[in-house]
Amino acid sequence: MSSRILLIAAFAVLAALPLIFGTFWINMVINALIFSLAVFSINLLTGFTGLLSFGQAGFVGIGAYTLGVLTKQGTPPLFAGLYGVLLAMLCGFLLGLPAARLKGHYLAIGTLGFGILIYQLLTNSVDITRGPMGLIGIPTGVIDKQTWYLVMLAVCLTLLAALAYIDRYSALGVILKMVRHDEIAAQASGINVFAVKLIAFTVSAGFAGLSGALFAAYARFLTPDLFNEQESFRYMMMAVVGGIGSPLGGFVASLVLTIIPEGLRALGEDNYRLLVYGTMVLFVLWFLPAGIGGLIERQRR
Amino acid sequence: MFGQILINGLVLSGGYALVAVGLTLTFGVMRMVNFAEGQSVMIGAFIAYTTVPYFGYVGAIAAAMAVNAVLGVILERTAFRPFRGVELNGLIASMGMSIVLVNVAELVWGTTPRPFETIYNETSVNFGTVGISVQRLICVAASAAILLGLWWLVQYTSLGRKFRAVSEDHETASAMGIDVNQVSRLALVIGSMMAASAGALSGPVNMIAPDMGRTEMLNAFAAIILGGFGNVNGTILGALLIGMIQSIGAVYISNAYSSSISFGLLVLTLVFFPRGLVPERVDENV
Amino acid sequence: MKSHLAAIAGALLLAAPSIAFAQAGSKGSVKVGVLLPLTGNTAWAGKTNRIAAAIAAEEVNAQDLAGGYKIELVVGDSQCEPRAAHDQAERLISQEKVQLLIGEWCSSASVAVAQVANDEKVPLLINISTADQIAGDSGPYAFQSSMQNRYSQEREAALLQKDFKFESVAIIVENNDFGLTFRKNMVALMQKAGKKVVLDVTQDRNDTNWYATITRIPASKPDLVIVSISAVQAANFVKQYAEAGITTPLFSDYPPPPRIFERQVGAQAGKIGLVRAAFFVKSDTNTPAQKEFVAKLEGRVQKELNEAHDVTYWDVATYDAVRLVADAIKRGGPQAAGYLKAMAVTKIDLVLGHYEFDEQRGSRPEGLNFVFIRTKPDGSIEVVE
Repeated sequence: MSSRILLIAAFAVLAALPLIFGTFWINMVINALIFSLAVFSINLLTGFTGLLSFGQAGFVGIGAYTLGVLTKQGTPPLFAGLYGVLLAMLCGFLLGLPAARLKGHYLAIGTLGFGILIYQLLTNSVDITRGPMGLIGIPTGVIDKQTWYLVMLAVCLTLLAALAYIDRYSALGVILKMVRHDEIAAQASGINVFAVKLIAFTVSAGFAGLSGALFAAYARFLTPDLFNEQESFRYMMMAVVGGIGSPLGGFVASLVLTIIPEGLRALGEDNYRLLVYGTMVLFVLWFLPAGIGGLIERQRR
Repeated sequence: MFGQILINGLVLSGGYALVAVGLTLTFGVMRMVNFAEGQSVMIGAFIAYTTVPYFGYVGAIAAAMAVNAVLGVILERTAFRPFRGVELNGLIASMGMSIVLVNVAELVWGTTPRPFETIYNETSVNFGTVGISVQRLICVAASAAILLGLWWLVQYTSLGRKFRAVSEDHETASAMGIDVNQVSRLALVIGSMMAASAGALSGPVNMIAPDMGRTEMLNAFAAIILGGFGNVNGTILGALLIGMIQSIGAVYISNAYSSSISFGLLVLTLVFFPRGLVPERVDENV
Repeated sequence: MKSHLAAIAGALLLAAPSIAFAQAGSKGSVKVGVLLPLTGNTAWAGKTNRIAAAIAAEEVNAQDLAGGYKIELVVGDSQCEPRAAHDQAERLISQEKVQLLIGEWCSSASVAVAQVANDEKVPLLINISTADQIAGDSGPYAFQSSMQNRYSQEREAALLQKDFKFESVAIIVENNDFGLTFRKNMVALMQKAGKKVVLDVTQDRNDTNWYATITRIPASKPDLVIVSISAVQAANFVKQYAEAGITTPLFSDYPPPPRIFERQVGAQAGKIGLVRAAFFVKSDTNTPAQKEFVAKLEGRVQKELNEAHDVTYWDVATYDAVRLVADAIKRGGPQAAGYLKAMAVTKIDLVLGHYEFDEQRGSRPEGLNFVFIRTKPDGSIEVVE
C-alpha cells in the first residue's frame, strides 16, 4: 500500500517539474516519456509473454507516419492517431501470424528483418511519405510543452497502471506468463498458445504505434531514419536496463537513458559521452541483472 | 554479364560468410547473438589499415587477426560469460560493447572515411565489358580458403568436436570434462578473427570508417537464419545464397531495396520454415 | 567654476572620438546559436566549420560590422541528425537564450531546426543544407543562404551541355534527398534538352556495393554518366568505376569536398577524369576575398586542430552566414521583426559571392559561386568552368 502512495507522490513530483526546469529539459523528458511507450510494448511482449522483438521501431514508424500523412491530408489529428495505432496493430497481427511459430533467436532475427522491411518501405515510398526528404510541418497545432508534458505523464501513468493490473491481478497476466515459462504446459492446460501470442503481438504493436503517433504529433517532423533498426536496439536496451518484465523499471530506464547522455554533454561534444553511455549499459547489466525494475522490487521488500 | 554477377555475388558472399560463421560459432557455443560482430569487422579493417606500412598486406591481415583474438577474449568475458542463462542480457551487453567499440574507434582514428589502398587495388582483370580489381578476386579466394580451413577445423579436429559437443548440450559436455569456458572463449576468438579477416580483405574494396560493419552484420544474420544457427556448413551456404541473390537482384530488380531482398527472403523463409532451412540439432526441452 | 566646466567640456570633446570608436559592443551582445555536426560521421566537416564561424564572429566584433552589437556564438552539436538537431535547437533557445540561429548541415536536420525556429519564433539562417524550399516550406522565420538543389542542377545541366558532347545519358543516384531530387530534376532537364536517358538507377544509400550498378553501364551504352552520390559513397563509386575500367565520362553532382576527396580516391578519380560540380574550390582563380579567407582559416585550423586543412565550401558558407547575420543585425537590429525584414532585403558581397534573397526566403543563385572541376591524373584539380 505504501509503495502505491510513494508512486503517486513520485508522479506528483514529476508533474510539478515543469515549474522548475526550462523548456529544454521538459523537451528531453517528453521525448523520454514517448520512448517509454515503446519500451512498454517490449515489456508486454518480451517481459510478460517471452517473445523477442527487434523490430518494434517498425510499428512506431507506422503509427508516426500514419498520423503524419493523414493529418497533412486534412484528417483531424485524433482520428489520424487512432488510425495509426490501429494500422500498427493490424501489422502486429500480421507479423504475429508467422512469428508466433518462431522460437527464440529465430524470432529475434525474424522481427529484426520485419523492422528493416518497414524502414525500407517508409524510405522508398517517396510519393506517400516523402522518404528521405522528410515530412515537415505536421499540422497538430503548436501546443505548449507544459501541456504536452502533462498529457504524456497521464498517458504513461495510465499504461503503467494497465500493465501493472495485467501483471498482478488479471487472468491475462497469468496466461501470458505461463506461455513465457513453459509453452507446452500452457498448451496442455488448455490455453490456446497461438492465440495468446497473437494477442501479445497485436497489443504490443498498438503500444508502439501509439508511441509513434504521439511523437509525430509532438515533434511535427518525421524522417525514416527515426525508425531504423538502431532505434529498435535502443528500445531493447532501455527495456533490458529497466528490467524486461518491469514496466515501471522500463519507465525509469527511459528517463535515465535519455537524460543522462544529455547531461553528459558536460564531458564535451565528444565520443566520450557516448562511451560513458555504452559503459553505463554494461554496468547495469553486470551488477543489476534484473535491471532497474529488480532494484525497485528489492526496495519494496 | 553473368560472369560479373557471379563474381560480385561471390565477393559479397565471402564477406557475409566470414562474419556469419563467427556469429554462428558464438551462438552455437554460448546461445547468444553477438551484436558487436560488425564492430569486430571494423576494428579488423582499421588494424590492418594501420599496420600495412609495417608488415605489408599479408602481415597486416595477421596483425588484425591477432588483435581481434584479444578482442574476442575481452568480449567473451564482458558480454557473454556473465550472462549464461540470461541470454537476452548478453545480447544487450554486446550492444553496449558495440557502442563502446565504435566510439573508441572514432576517438583513435577519427570519423573521416579513409581509403585502404593495397597494390592489388590498382590492377584490374577484364571480365567481359567490366573489369574487376585483383583485390576483389583475392577477397573471394582468401575467404574461400579461410572458410575451408574453418570447416576442416570443425569437422576433423578435437577442438571442432568440442565445439559441436558444447553446442549440442553444454552441461553434458562439461560433465564429460570439457572446459566449457575455454571452448566459449575460443569460439569468440575464432569468430573475431574471422571478422578481422573479413574487414581486412574487404576493407580495400571501399572506404573504411568507424561506422562500417553494420550492413555486413545484418546480412550475416540473414545467412544464419537460412543456414541454421550453430551450423557452420549451413551458414556458409546461407551466405552464398544471400550474396548471389543480392547480386542478381541488384541488376534485375532494384537497388533501392537491396537490404529488403535479403530480409524479405529471410522473413519469407521463416514464414514457411519456422525452424530455419536447416533445423538445429538441439531439441526442445520436452 | 567656469574653468571646471571648461575642463570637463574639454575632456568630453577630447574623449568624443574614442567614445564613438567604443560603439562596437555598446548596444550589448547578441547570442547567436550555431548548429553543426561535431560528432558522428560528418564531424570532420563540422569541426572546421566551427572555426570558420569563430573567425567571422571575431571579425564582426573587431570591425563593428553588426551595428554596435557584439556577436556571441553558442555552438550546439546536432550530429547531422534530426532528433539531435531538434533537441539542440531547443537547448540553445531555452537554456542558452540565443536570439538567432544558424544551421544545419544535413537537410533532414535542417528541417527539424526550421520547425523549432518557427515554433519558438527565433530567426534561422540555413547556411549549408541545399534541399529545395526548406525555408519556404517551414515558415517566415527561416532563411536559406545556401544555393538550393534545383538551381545548382539547372546550372549543371547547362554546363554539361556546354562542356560535353552527348546524346544519351545514364543517371545513377543514391536514395537520399540529394539523389532523389537530382534524379527528378535531371530526368526532366535532360528530356527537355532532347537527350535520351538510357539508364536510371537508384541505389540504397547504405549499400556500398556499386559493382552491380556499374555492370549495367556498358550494357546500356550512354555517352555520359551523371551521378548524385554523396561523400563516402561517392568515393566508393569512383573507386569501383575506375577499377571496372569504364571509359564513359563521369560527372558527379554532389561535391565531395575537393582535396579531402582527392586524398581518398585521387588516383582513381584522375584516371577517369572525373568532373564534378563544386560551390567553392581553392585555386588561383579565387577572388582576393576568397584567398584571404583561405589563408586565415587554414592557419587557424592548423593551430587549433593541428592538422593541415583544405578550405571547403562548408567553411565558407558558415563564415558567410555569420557575416550575413551580422549584416542583418546592423540594418534591422537583433529583434525578430526588424531582423527578418532586414534579412529579406539583404544585398551584400561576401566570400562566396553576392547574396540576395527571393520571396521564398531562399538565396538567389545568380550571384553565388559555382564551378566545375576536373581531377587530373596526378590527383590535382583544375577548374574547368
